[in-house]
This record gives sequence, structure tokens and C-alpha cells, in this order.
Amino acid sequence: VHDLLRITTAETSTTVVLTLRGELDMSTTPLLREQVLDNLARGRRVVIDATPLRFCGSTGLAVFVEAHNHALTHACELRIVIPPGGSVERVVDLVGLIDILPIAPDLEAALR
Amino acid sequence: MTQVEIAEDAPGFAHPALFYQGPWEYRAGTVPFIREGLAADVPVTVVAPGPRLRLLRDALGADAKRVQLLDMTVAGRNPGRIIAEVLLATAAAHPDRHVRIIGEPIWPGRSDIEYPACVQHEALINLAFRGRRATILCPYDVAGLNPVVVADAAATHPTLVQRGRTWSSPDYAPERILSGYNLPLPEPPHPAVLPFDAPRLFLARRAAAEHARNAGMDQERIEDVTLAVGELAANSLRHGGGSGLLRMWTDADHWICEVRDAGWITDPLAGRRPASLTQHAGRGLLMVNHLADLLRTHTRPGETTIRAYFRL
Repeated sequence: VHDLLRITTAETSTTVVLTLRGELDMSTTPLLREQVLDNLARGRRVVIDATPLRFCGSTGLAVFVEAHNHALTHACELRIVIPPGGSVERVVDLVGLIDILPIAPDLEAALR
Repeated sequence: MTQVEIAEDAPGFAHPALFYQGPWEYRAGTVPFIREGLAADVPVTVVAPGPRLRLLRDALGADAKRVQLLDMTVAGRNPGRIIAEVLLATAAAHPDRHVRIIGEPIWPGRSDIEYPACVQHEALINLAFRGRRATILCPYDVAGLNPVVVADAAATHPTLVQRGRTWSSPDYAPERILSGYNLPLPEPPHPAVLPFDAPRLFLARRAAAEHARNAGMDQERIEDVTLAVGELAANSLRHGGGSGLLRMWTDADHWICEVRDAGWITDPLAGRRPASLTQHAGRGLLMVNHLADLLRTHTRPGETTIRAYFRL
């Protein structure tokens, strides 16, 4: 099951980029949740790169929302890379989160 | 007594059914309700089938621009999404106002498969708007509809209006409609069958995508059904005993998937309440209602079956 989602980590002194490959569903979401919240708690700027993500269900969105709320209340910085026109963007748009979540169109914009 | 008074006098929520025959009675029952709302600067929304919208547009003239007109065959094609996406969304957009909505979710073209979901939706409006401020007027074309439908409308609406006369419905009993239409669904012929549990959740999604592709659906719709099956199956894992059975088939007009599990849905508004923008969970069924053209549910202690229909 864990091959369903691969999370690769790239870090600098201030920023950690978590790149998601595969499918973010109920079975794989806990992996991401732990890593995002852990890095935010350590005061890192977190970028979730969902560019190579093939599938994102409502539990995946729930982690995005939870991380965003955590970042807001703890004054941390979070960016989520969701390329325009892709299937992940459609899901985010469908539930009305497109203007709520801190979305960047590509990694370059997220790191700027 | 004119029918507009029911809205004016209502301090909280009013949900009258308007029984009309022909365009003249339709206009007489709806246009004063709209005009009075506009005169009081109250937000007015009409969600009705196309021919009714055209009728109102002609009758209202320049004022039509001040009314939000939505096509029910699009916005409310799946009756399961009308409460969240149209009714509560309209009320939420004007939190301090007593909004006026005309909603016609049941018209003579609704199919026998759609009808139980439509009448359950009408019953649930009363629950969803308890304690809120709004008037939702529901026209029923009594000349074109089955008498059973008209009798059901008297059970789902506390107030009835016909030819300018308004009265309290003696048959108002929305709970009776909710339970009465919570029925086993007819067996499909030769469905594809796939049992799933947590480790096989992704297989259920893949099977749905492949089945939909073989049925000739385009890429975007394949993504929709994958998402819908994923959410229904995830609900089985979370609330339905940790496993379930996925079945898929097509009829002449639809690609259909069904998820059955050991759960029992006790919240009749599940999947119909808009999600707040900050809440984490609780979006799964709401998403399925948005994606599908129809949702049919049969739920009882120990067994829940949900069918999602997607037009081909």
C-alpha cells in the first residue's frame, strides 16, 4: 500500500519540499500528515509539491486544510504546488478550496 | 388571502408547495412572490426547469435581471446537491436577509429512478432550514404529475397554495416520506463485482476507472467516477465496518456504481450540508453528490447501499 504514495524530501536550512508521487487517499494520507505537521512544528517553511500526484481524495484535501490551519495559527509558512488544469486542481476547485489554500502554480513560484 | 402573505408573515422558515395548472396559474403563483421580494429589496433566486425560467423571464421583463435564475435540470439534476449548492448557498450569501427562493425539483420529466431521491430532498429541506430565515416556494405542475407525487408534496410541505388560497397541510409528515422511500434498490443485471477493504481501496478506484473507460466515458468523467468510487469506498472503510462491495454496470443512459457495506447512515443530511472552509473532514459524500447525476441510498441497521448514476 505504501508504494501507492511516494514522498521525497528536499531540504535547505529554512525550507522543506515534500514532493508527492502517486495517489493520496485514505490509506496514504497519514504518511503526508505526519511529515507536514512535523516540519511545520519545527518552524520550517513547508512546500508540498503535488505536481506529480495522480489522485487526491477528500482525506488528502483534509490534510491540506489541516496543514493550512496549523500554519495560520502558528504563523508558519506553507505552500502547496498544484498545477493549473490538472486533476488535483479540479478536486480542489470542486470543493471550493481553490481560493482558500495557499496554492502556487509551480515549484518556482512556491519557493519565491 | 394571497399567497405572498405566507412569506411576509413568516418570521423564520416557510416551505409552501404551489399546486398549479398551466402557465397562467404558474405566473399568478410565482410572479407576485418575486415582485414583492424585489420591492422589499430581498434576494430572490429561482431554480426551475428551462421552460419555466423562460416564462418568468418574459413575465418579469426588465426585473428578471434582478433575480438569480438557475436551470434546475443542471444545478439540481442530482437532487442530492440542491440543498448544499443552491438553497443553503443562497441563504449563506445573504445571512441577514429572509431570502426568497422558488425551487421546482420535481417536474413531469423526472424519471422513476430519480423520483425517490427528489421527494426525499423535498422532505429534507424542512430539516436543513430549521431555525433559518427563508421562504422556499415549490411549484408542482399538478396537470402533468402523477397524483402520488402531488400527495407526497402535501407530506413534504407544511403549507399548500392553490389558486390564491393558502392552507396548512393536514398531511405534513416529512419523516414518513424519508422512511417510506428508503427502500431496497432493484437488482441490476450482470454487474461487475469487486469486494474491497483498506489495502484494496486503490484497486476499487482502478476498477472503476477501467469499467468507465470501457463504457466509453471521456477522461474527465473517468476522473469523476474514480473520485466518487474512492469516496464511497473510503466511507465504507471509515463508517461501514472496514470493508464493502463495489458493483458497476450500465443501463441505456447511465454508468452506475454501487457501494454496499455494513454501516447505517443515521444522519439524513449526510452529504448535503455545505462544508465550512476550515473543517478538515466531511467532504466525501458532498463531493459524490456534486459529481454524480443522481444518488440513491438504502440504509438500515447493518447495511447501507449507495448507488451513483453518471449520464453516458
